[in-house]
Amino acid sequence: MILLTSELATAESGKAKGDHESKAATRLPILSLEAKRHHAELSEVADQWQPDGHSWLSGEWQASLIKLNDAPLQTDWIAAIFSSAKSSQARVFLRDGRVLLGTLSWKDAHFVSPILGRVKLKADHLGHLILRSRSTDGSTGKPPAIAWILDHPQGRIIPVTSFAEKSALICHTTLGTLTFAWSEIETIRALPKGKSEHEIHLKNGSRLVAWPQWKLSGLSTETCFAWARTPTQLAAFLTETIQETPQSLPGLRLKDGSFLHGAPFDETTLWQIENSEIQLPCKTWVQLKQMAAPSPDASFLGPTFTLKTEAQTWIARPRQETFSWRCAGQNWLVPWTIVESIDLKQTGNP
Amino acid sequence: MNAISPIILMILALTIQPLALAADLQEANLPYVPGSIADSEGNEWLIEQNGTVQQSGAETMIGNCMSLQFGNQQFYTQQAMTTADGRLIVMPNNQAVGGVRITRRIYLIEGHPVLLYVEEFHNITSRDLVFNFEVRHNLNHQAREITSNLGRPIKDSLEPKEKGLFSIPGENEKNAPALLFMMRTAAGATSTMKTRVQNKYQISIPYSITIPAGQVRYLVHGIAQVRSKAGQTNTTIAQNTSTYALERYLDRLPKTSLKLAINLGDESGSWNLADWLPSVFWGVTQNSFDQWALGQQSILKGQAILRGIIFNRQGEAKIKMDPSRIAALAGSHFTRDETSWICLRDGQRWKGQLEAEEMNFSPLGGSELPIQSLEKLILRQPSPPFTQHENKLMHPLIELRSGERIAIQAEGDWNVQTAWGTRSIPWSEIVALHENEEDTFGQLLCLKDGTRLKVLTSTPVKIQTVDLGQLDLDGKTLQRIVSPIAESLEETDQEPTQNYLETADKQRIVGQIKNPQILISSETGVVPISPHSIREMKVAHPMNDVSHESVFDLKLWAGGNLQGKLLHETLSLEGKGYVWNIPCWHIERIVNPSPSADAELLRKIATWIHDLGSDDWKSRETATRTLRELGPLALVSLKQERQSTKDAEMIRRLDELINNEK
Repeated sequence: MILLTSELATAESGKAKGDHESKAATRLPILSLEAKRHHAELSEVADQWQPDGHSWLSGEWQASLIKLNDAPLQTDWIAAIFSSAKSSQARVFLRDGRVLLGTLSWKDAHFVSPILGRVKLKADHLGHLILRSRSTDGSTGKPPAIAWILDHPQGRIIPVTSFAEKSALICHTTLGTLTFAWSEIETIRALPKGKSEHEIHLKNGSRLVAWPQWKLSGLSTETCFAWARTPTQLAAFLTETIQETPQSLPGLRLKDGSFLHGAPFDETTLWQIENSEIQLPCKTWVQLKQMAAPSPDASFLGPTFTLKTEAQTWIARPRQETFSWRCAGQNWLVPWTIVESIDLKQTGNP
Repeated sequence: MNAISPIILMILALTIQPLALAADLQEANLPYVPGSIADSEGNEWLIEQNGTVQQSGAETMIGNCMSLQFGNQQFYTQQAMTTADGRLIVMPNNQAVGGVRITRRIYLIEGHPVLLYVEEFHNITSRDLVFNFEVRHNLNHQAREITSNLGRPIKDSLEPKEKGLFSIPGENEKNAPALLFMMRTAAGATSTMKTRVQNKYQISIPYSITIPAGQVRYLVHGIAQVRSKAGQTNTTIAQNTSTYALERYLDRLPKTSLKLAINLGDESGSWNLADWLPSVFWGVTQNSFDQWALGQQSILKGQAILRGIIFNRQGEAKIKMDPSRIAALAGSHFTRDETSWICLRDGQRWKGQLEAEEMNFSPLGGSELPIQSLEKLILRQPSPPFTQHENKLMHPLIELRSGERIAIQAEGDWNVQTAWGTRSIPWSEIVALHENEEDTFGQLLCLKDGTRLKVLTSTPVKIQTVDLGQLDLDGKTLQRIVSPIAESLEETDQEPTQNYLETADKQRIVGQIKNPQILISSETGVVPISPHSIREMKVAHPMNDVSHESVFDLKLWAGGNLQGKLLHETLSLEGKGYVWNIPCWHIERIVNPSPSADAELLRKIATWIHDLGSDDWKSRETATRTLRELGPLALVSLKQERQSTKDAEMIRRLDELINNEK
């Protein structure tokens, strides 16, 4: 599972200092992250404005008849606006956690500060604006959001309020095409370092590397960067604070980094050990680990494993090319060649 | 003749070396004076005359690194030379060490906190030499930990797939950048590599290389100063170090040094055709006799007598085999089960049941023996003797995870899953499918036009084979493919001649950008760019993992540069009859190898060309100047006009403009 080690997680876990910044950050974690990137903090006391990359000014923002992509936007929905100082393209953070993208326009807008007085603002030359936070920030409407999608690293954040009947997540993996009900999915995120894959965490503790395929809320997979149950989880994907906890669950690890918590489905498997063929019950497995091929010629003979049972450890070759593995209520056929290791006597909880 | 040949070799060797040096020295023609250099991250480097990197600045892990040692001797040079921009330092040593002349070349990589070293070892003798040397690093203080690039604490060796060493600063220097010693690429990381780490302070890597007489070999390695947050885990170490993987910098090096490098594996480029058409079977090399291996230690040479050979591949129909097609056989004594292997001269190899009416062996000088329990039988090379060059692929070969290789007909299409959807690829377009060395997800499918796609082959596939009829295969069993097209291509990584896009995970799609404009958010605002006007657009510096935002550098065909962020979620590319929607966080580089002007610009170019023949001198001059500034964008139109015009003044001006572009 994903372990959150950021201040966001600290606040969420109830160990917050109790100051208003932490509470505000918890209610709108992605806005808090964006503010931090621009060297600002959320405040309940004043609105903040940063024109043209200069220092932040505290004061009060006033605006009327705001539109985003020509659609009206209520002022009291807005928590923050981040835009290039020389562009009307803006990222608008709403108080319910949504983030919208588009072209801003308004009839009239001002920022009143003790330093500058009353300054007229232009929609195509705004800079960054963070409005004072409220105790109701982060509350979604009815029906409540059951998941959140980030469609691009610097893009929109969209709540998911329901799943269409019979909709599912399709994952293209090294095991083939797998399908999961949305109720089984914990998080999805694009892998860093320019990889084209996503990693999918299932609720049972498994982690799959895959090319996911979905259509949700009119979005397709090409423009979906991450999916999570809470905005805090989404925010964690945008920081370096995610640390993969050492896997303490019994399961199967594949060479592509996937981990499948589960158990072998077959009762026995056939192994070549020395000059003999031996049928071993799968329940006797403790650990299997694939060995590097000693020479290119050895690849003719198939993969070789150190096979540890409760009785002893062997060097063995599987006689079949695949075996069955049960995970998340499904049985999957796994080629032995893509297996990194199997550990069956771990006792951790997901 | 025999007495003269070594002398001739020596003369040639001594001649080649100065030529190679001369090429570098034309660029590196300024004496190098050691001094502290700052890289793009603000790290300091102090490179001594002998190429060692010394401590410079207060917060550094570097004590004395990248030292090249031969026994008790350390490398030295009479005079190091550098280029005018200081990006290349060349350190020749004209005094050979044990018959090997050594040159160090150090590349300072612009925009990266990396020094790349290319060590050249030139055997100037007339005999093959085994040359031993060490690379040593002494740290400033004891490291908190020294791990592999994958985060595994190092004892005495790198395991296969590990590519370098990572030194994590101790508590006393927690602000110092970590040090990454880049030792090999993924393609070169196929075996264990010895290292010696003492007290988390001194690292030495011993090398032993064989250099044929008169030949050159290279070692390509490097050092990076990596700034990262505290709390290193295996995952973060692997992520941090992959940013500075040796593979990322090889395109800056001469191809010779890549081909002859001892530590880069197949990175140097080759379809590895020798592996598909081998002459070595289970450690036994084909020669002019048949060879019967009776175990690990016994092998007889002579003549095999084979008659009525029938092979039954995994329960399918039995195939009668012409013995002249057979290159080698391995039986149950080798496989230790009921199965046998048959390797054919065309590169196929099948696993199954072997039957023979007669299988005997007549050793040289001995009497005929029956082969009852077959270990291995390697048949002679066919006469007349042929070399690898004559050994050609006749059909595409597919290799299954079982190790079998099967010749197929390149007919029909193959459905594969890519990162951006399912695609149907004609078999006739496929050059190769191989494992992606750096990436364990999917395989890399290489197409004729230079497209390279990561694919999952897990769907069922129907294949028409040459000998085995139609096969229904589980796509997961496909491991590699090679096609005869590979033989006509020089390298794996030829740059396409058409427009293409590359991703950060080494995929490449040849095609045209379909977006009418590309919007770049620059320092001064949003700039719309026509895709045709881009010469090259690439990520300016390693992607920020946190924001996944990439800043791109654009070079334009009309001249000029632009830097900024892409204001798109995806870019659309059309190639191979498909439209690809590529998320912008996947994009590493876009290249238009040939300039192309859009319709509006072409009209303007035509007007300016017309003005070259104007009666008004000022108009002629303005048109000439404008066309000169357009450079390669106008070249095609200029050449077309040059072929048809008879106006002497126009001809003069056109010739001047065309010659200017040569």
